[in-house]
Amino acid sequence: MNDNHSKLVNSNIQEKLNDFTANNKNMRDFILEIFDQEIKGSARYKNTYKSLIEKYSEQEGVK
Amino acid sequence: MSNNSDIRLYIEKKCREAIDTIFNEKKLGLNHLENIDRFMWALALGIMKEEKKPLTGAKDSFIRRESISTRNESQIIAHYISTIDENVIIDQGIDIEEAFKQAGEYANAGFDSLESLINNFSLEDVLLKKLQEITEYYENIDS
Amino acid sequence: MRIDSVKIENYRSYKDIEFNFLKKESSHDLHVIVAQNGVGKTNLLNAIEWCLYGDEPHLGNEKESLPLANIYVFDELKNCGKESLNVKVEVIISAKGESHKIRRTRKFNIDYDLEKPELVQLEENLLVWKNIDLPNPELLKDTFADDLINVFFRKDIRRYFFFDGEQLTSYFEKARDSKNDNKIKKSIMSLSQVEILENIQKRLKSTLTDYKKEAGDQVPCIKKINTNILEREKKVERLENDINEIEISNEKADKEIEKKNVFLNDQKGVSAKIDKLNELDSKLNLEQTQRDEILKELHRFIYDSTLKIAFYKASRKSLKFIDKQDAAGKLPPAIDKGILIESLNSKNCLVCGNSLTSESKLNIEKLIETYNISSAASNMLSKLKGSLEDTINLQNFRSDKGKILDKLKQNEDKIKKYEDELNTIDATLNDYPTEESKNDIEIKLRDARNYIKAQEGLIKQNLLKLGEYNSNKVNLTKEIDCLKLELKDVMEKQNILNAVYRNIKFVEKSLKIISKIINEIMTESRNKMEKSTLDYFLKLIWKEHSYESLKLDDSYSMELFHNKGYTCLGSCSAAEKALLALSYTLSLHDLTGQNSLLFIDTPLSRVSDENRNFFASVIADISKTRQIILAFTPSEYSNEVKMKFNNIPFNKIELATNNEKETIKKEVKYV
Repeated sequence: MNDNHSKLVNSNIQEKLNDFTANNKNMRDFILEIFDQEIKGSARYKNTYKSLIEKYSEQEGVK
Repeated sequence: MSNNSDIRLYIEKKCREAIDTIFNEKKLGLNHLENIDRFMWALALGIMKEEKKPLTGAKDSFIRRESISTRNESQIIAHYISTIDENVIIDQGIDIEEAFKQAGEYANAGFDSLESLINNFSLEDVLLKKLQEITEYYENIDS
Repeated sequence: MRIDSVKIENYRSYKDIEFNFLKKESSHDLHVIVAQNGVGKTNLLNAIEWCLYGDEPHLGNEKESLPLANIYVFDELKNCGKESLNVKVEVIISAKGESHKIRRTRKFNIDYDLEKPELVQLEENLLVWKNIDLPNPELLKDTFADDLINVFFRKDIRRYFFFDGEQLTSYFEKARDSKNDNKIKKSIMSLSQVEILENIQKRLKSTLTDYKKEAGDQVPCIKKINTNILEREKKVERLENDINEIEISNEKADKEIEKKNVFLNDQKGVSAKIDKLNELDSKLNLEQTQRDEILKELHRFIYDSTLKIAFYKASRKSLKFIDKQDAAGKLPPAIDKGILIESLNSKNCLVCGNSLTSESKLNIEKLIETYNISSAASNMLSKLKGSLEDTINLQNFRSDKGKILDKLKQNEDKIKKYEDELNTIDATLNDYPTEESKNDIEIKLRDARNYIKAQEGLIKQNLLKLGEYNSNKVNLTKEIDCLKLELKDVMEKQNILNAVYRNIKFVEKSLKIISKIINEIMTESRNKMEKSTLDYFLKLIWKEHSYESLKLDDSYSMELFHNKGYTCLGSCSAAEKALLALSYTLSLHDLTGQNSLLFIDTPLSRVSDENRNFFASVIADISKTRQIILAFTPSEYSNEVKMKFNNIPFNKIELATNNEKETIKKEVKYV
């Protein structure tokens, strides 16, 4: 995962997210990426969300 | 006879709610009683009224036979035996499934008698009324 | 951030004026405007807010009917036959070394066709020049202009930058009534990015519903289960809200009771009557607890007896039947099946020791088969016999019932006795007149007792509700769990749905994490805000204080606690309240990172004379860290205040009217 997210998400949220997803990097990346999308503001969010969910949940399944 | 695990006690959904009103109330001190105990009480009330009511509404909650204690099952069966011809038992044995079905119907009638009481009196008063009823029933038990 | 200057043209009482709020290399950033009422203090505040946000929140009723444009200018233009009039307010703000110019204009046409010429409002325009110190400042319009203003002076918390004095002292009453419309919470959520998380939450939930629907469309029963789950989850959510409210209310009541109890305890021995009351109270409490126990015992007795009595006839009849069958030898003998099988296996009869002939083998095999059929009935009947025998013992019913009812009666008698005694003493206390003898300690004690009783009543009612809600919640949660299991079952059976199912699980998991983060951040910010408000307040307050803690509720409304434990916001003086409002504002600025100016119109109007100089020094102190603009009436700007301010550098602008037509600067003193 690239580090772009840390610029968008504030440190407080980042810290808590790290805590709550300590054993699940996949989930952490998912939330960060969706956060990223949210800040960029996508009009058709459903498609974006669904493709992210499918991508990450599949990875989670593989793990 | 069917497999034991398929034999269950059924209750009508509506009735279940009525009796839970009493048994969920912590203040009354009966809240630790299990589903089967709740069922047994309703059954007892139905037996005292000598009424049964077929389960027509949605069958909701059920209790599997394996989670019923010997004592409770004995009471259910004893009541069943007392309502049918002795010769039938001698000839055909005891039909547990039928005994459970009948218990459900008596309990259903028992729940029914509670419902209107609960709507009109405080829960404490409902219980006191029941005390009065069982006392009367007790006085006439040998007649 | 600060306001460097304000330029106003044709706005209300102003025709053409410029205010410079310059800050030289001075330690303080304090600006004082002095003007009689009606000269234009509030108009200045309104002009700034109109420029920034396009409305005028501090307008009195009488001015609402007047046009935004200066009516004298309108007259002049009318007389010269001019066709239009422009209202313009220009504010230059600066933050972090960059300055921005904000200009709002509204154009009016003068319509001469009417009987009396009138102003007709035309378009309004907002322009922002970003970074005016650069050679080519960027020009922003429309929402981009609004956005820039919002970065520096967030519109939703503007009432924490621009005040009037009335507002300062009635701050918390208002805040409590309207619950701030949750604006503070909202802006904290926005600034801490929680808003984004909430949006994600909302969208994930909606996507989740889609997936569930997708699963449901493929298998109709899944749809039904999902609807059931959703319904119950909504109910649980509502219950949780209700439970939360009740708990808060009880917490409050508990605190109230505690502090009154502290008070009552302090008064021990002061009054024999009250001591007696307290003694009776504790006796009564004990009996009431006992009563609850006895009632529980009685209920259990009723339950047990109902079962015994109801089944008595049936049990007895069945036992008789079993005994009859037994006596008649109709019950098959209880044979140990194990011995039969073992005999068969070892080919030796384990009972007589002889080896088995093929004939006896056949017999044993038949016996085992019979055993399988008839022993079920045999076993059942003998099992019945054992467990029924002890259910037909009803001998003690009458005496047991009598015992419990006696116990209950004795307990009730005692309760009645104590209550009577209590009422008698209470009645004598209640006979005291309330108003005249306020100092009478017994009256105070009585009132405290009555108050406690009322709070206890409230708690009791709340607990009843809480019990109901909690048990509903437990039931619903159980149902949800069952439904989820059922759903899992169904879904697993439907292999085709694996992908959808996996997505659903994944989204549910992520939602849990997000809501945990939101909760933590919101709790932390509230705690931070509580602490920092109290810190500011204790630092700013001049007199010896007895405040101990400060609490914000979920919507950031405040409670202040005296060190005796009771809430005391209501009994604070106007000056203390104003100070508290300032503390709250300052910590809100800190928390939201909006280190903004404070513009306060008539800051001392409600503050009594003796507190004014203290207040002035507090303000002077705050002006070390941020820009403060104060608009005083001459009487507010009293000698005490002047003396305080004279020790520090500050700008002063005195306003007057020019023939009551136009507000002008009468005297300007810059540092």
